[in-house]
Amino acid sequence: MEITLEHVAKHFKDKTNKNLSVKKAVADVSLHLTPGVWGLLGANGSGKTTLMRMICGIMKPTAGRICYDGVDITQLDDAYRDIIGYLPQEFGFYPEFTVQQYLEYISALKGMTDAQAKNRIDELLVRLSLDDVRRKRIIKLSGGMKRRVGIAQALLNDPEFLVLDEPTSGLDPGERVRFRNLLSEFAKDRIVLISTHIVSDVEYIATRNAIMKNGEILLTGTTQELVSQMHGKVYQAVIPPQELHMWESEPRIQIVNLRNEADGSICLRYLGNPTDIPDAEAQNPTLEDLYLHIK
Amino acid sequence: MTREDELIRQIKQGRRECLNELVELYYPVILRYCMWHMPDMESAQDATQETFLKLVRFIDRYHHRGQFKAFLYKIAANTCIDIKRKRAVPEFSLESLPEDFAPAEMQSENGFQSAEDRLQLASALTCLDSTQRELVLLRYGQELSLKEISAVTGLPLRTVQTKLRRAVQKMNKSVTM
Amino acid sequence: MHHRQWKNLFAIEKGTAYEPHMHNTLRLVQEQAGRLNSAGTPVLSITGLVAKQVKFLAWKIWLTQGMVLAALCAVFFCIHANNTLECVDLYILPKFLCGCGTVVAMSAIPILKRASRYKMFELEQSTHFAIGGSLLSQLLFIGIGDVCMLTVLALAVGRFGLTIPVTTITLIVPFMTAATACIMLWARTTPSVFQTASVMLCLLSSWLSYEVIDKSSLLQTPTRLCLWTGYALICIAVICHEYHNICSYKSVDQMLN
Repeated sequence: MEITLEHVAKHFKDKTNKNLSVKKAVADVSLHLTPGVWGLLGANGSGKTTLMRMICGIMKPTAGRICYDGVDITQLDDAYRDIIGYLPQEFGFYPEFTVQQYLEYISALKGMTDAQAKNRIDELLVRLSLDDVRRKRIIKLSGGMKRRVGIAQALLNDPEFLVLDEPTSGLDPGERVRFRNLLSEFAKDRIVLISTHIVSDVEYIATRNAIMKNGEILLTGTTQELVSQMHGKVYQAVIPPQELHMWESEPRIQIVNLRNEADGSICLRYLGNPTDIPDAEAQNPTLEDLYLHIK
Repeated sequence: MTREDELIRQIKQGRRECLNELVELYYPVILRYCMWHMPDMESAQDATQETFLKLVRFIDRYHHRGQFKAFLYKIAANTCIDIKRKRAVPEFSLESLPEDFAPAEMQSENGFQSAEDRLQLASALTCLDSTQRELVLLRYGQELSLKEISAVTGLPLRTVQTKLRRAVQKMNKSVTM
Repeated sequence: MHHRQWKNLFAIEKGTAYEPHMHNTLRLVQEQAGRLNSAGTPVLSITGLVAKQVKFLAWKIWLTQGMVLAALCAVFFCIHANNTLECVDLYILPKFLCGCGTVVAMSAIPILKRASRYKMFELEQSTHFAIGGSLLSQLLFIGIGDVCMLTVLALAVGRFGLTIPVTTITLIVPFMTAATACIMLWARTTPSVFQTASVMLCLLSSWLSYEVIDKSSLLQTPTRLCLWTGYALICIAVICHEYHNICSYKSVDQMLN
């Protein structure tokens, strides 16, 4: 099972521009997705959501093609949507629906018969710890529970390809960990594509990552491969607080984190050279460092 | 209901033996199509085989709306593109016509005439862009109707007519030159 | 060269050389088929979807339409109760019916806007039936409700001196015009613009419909009926065309922006 993107692009008319020029939300993206967890990292406005919408068959690309096992997804049409589970960034629901009703409604739209839907809904509600609230209106649930309802609807049709757009936004750390564990369990023999600007969401569970900026994929690779590009570029130094402003405006370095120490000094983690700040120590790079470097 | 509709209906009901008849029905035309797009017979046969294997993989999910031919041709087109890309085969060139190609009436006559026709045809096709070439191949090589070509390529019928007319004009020009 | 000459040049002899390879392909095809399930996974049909949507959608739509109908009838019978229409003013009644036809069509606006208002459009578009399936259910239920509303209005109001052709025309024509305008706007405008634009366009079309109907009263009744029947059929064709466009992704970009 594989999803291949070949020179996929999406252009919109830029209505903010008087000349109605074209805005390239996705410029030229080629990707080869295989079973496992894929992290799609990028800042807001980098084109992640547009790309995911095209991958899910919601939008048609302006150029390029997307293939599932070598067959163009536009040919497969609803047959392709049957193997997808999608959780959009702005996950909505009709306010009068209870959890059970909502899942029944979505299961009907997914073409599931009553028997299929009933069994699957019962199984998912238990697995996602939503069984106690099945008759509760979704609007009354907490943020974390709402997200779990979102995951449940994405998993209803037992998809081969799960696409999650910013799935952890608004979740507390405990919910995030729980969510990561759930995904790791699900990802066996499936493709899971998660888009996020929170690096830690994917750093530990993603098999491979793709970093997106201005509608293009800049880098792809495993976390190790990507992080290795930052070896020798990440340092930590302790500075007196009165020097902070000076280092912040120093163009040679990029500060990724600063921490106030107990003795009043400031611990700076930065991207640059060891000689940029005196007595700097080399640090093990993380995916976040790479992401901030590219951003 | 055509024989094809009946076969697809039976396959979806679980009668897998009907797959054989469906493959036999379309094998020669898909092979011919792949021969136009691949540099040699072996590659064309590989592409044809891969096309039918993909068809089997998706036949359960395919919703029959009377567009089976277009569905199959599109799989064949994408398969040829994928194989050419993997093997770094260049776009259509004078050497692109399969070695086994020969016009039907000429095969029994002298080989020099068929080689000349082959060259003439290849030369005419090289002066076309990829879309025009595809339309010409589907129209004359595969003998599809304009409506069928529109379904396969996804182009509106009028566009197919216009582009095909221009392609033929270009080919005629290249032949007279 | 002539078309036939090109065709002959392209003809490839159908030799027997391919048969060994075809038999090999057949063998592989059967092996692959054997690995798949013997029967396909059952999928809900479109009629099954519509039937299931009755409990989710239909009663809400009909409840909304019922309230609109009750309001229209209340307006009419309040006027009648005051005996203003005892000596029925046949000048006002057709105008009232035109307005009713438009309001009946406009009662669909909040329903059509629900998917984008509650951010369900994107999710529904990613499912098996996509937005076409859920929209078809909505349009079917709205249509059934509209037919009932128009019938009740025709029976309630039309008996006050208007002929059947006049009642039918003054109800149906503005209704079809407004309904067509709404679906065209739904397919072509962003959700933020749809509601305001459709209300304004419906009101405008109501006034225009009345003026045109009034002018057409100069024609003979059979001619008028033919004219407006043709017009209604054109509106239905446009609605079907717009629905087809919606299902073909032409509206998706602005719906999601």
